[in-house]
Amino acid sequence: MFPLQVTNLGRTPWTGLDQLIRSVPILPFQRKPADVRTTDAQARTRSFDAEALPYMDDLFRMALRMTRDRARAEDAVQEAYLQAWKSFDRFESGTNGRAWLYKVLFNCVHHQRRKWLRFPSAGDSEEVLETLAASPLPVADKLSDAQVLEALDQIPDDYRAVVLLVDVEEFAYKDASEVLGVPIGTVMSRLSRGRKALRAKLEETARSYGILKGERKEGSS
Amino acid sequence: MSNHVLPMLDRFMDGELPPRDLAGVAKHLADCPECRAEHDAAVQTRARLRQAARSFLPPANLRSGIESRLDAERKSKPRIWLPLAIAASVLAALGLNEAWQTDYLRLTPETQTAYVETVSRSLTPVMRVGFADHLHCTIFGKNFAQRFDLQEILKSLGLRNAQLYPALAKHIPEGYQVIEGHKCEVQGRRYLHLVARKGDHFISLLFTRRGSGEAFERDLRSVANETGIPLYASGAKRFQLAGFETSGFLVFLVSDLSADRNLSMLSTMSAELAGVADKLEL
Ligand SMILES: [Zn+2]
Ligand SMILES: [Zn+2]
Repeated sequence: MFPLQVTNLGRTPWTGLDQLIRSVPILPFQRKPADVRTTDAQARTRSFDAEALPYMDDLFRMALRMTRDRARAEDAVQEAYLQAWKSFDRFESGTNGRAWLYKVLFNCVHHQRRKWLRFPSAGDSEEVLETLAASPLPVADKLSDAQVLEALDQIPDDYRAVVLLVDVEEFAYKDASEVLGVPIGTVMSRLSRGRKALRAKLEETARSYGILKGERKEGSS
Repeated sequence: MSNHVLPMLDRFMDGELPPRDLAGVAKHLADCPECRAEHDAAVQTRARLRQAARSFLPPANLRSGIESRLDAERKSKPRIWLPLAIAASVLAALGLNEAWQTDYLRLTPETQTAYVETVSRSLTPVMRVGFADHLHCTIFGKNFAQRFDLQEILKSLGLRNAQLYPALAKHIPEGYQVIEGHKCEVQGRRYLHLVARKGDHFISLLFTRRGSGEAFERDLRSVANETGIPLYASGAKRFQLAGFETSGFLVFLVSDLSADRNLSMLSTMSAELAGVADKLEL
């Protein structure tokens, strides 16, 4: 490739174009009103820390369930804060700062996965969703936390993400759609299938630990 | 029991059902053991999942880890905030994913070039000519005036090229504004360049002198010819390109509008642009 060079070739000598200028309708240039926080570095730092850092544990919890690895989750959360800081202007202008942080986090997790190809992912196979029992038995109460999470971890990434955002992080559908960058209809269908898949996996997990015995419910396969 | 409400259960339990449907679903649940069992199982599972997912121990040094990375960033680059604002809009313009891959705030010329090569791979050589300037000048270059000033735009565009301004201004989609016009040079090639912007979205109108043998039709079939001028179109990542050639120039419109919109915008302008091309000075 050529060495990169972008040059503005400068201004040419000017004679009035008043008439042309007047003939063109001009909209006022939209710009953000000056914001004190964007001009004072220290106040800006304080403002970011106060708005963003309280979500640290929430973000870690989400990252942990998406990566299933504490070290990677921690790394993803640190990266997310770094990226959020770098584009704090957008964070400020957003209506939902928490959703924005999760959005950045998902990008970090996604990027991390691309970087480490050996990153185990349940996301590529939707097989799990195709063998759903019609009405899995409600067994969650019989399982330990670790067993519940073991079942959750087997749900494909896209579905697991929606279930976590809505069920654990308690985002409204609209915010979950914002976080993941998918339409609300997609959120709803993934949520519905993800929840069903989770219940099927919970039942399967219960069986594998001998907690649930006997015949499968009618309609299951 | 007819009219089961299973498809509405998720929205019901999440409080996302419109008020008009609420009473109906609630009544059905009271009457129908089947739906009620499903509902109760779903609610129970949700509560159990919430509890399990929240029963984790956050790493002891999470906060200090975050803070030390933020500190390092804040110390290493004392920022002037206006450029940061521009950088943020570049981040947005690229889309977070792509910006991420290019590590947008530390883009060296080499990584920019590599990025352009990657995203241009699907394009024909002639299309790359227009795309390169849109990326280097509009997206990476931040070569915009800090303040909208029509006098300055027309001045830097050059008197003989000034009519490009109204030609573009008339046809940009609602909400966009022409914010910049200039001559620029990327990789030894000169361009007349107008930029329209709406928030984080940019549209480039580009003219560059045709090199010998350079023609869209060499590698592409025209996709439209409504004004008697064959138009060509391609897409690369989220960018859309449309172009045509006159005897002396290659003309490009590059945006992140839909392919159809980008093409029809150029189509509407093409006759006017072709008409002034002979008089342009570059
Ligand atoms: Zn029913
Ligand atoms: Zn330019």
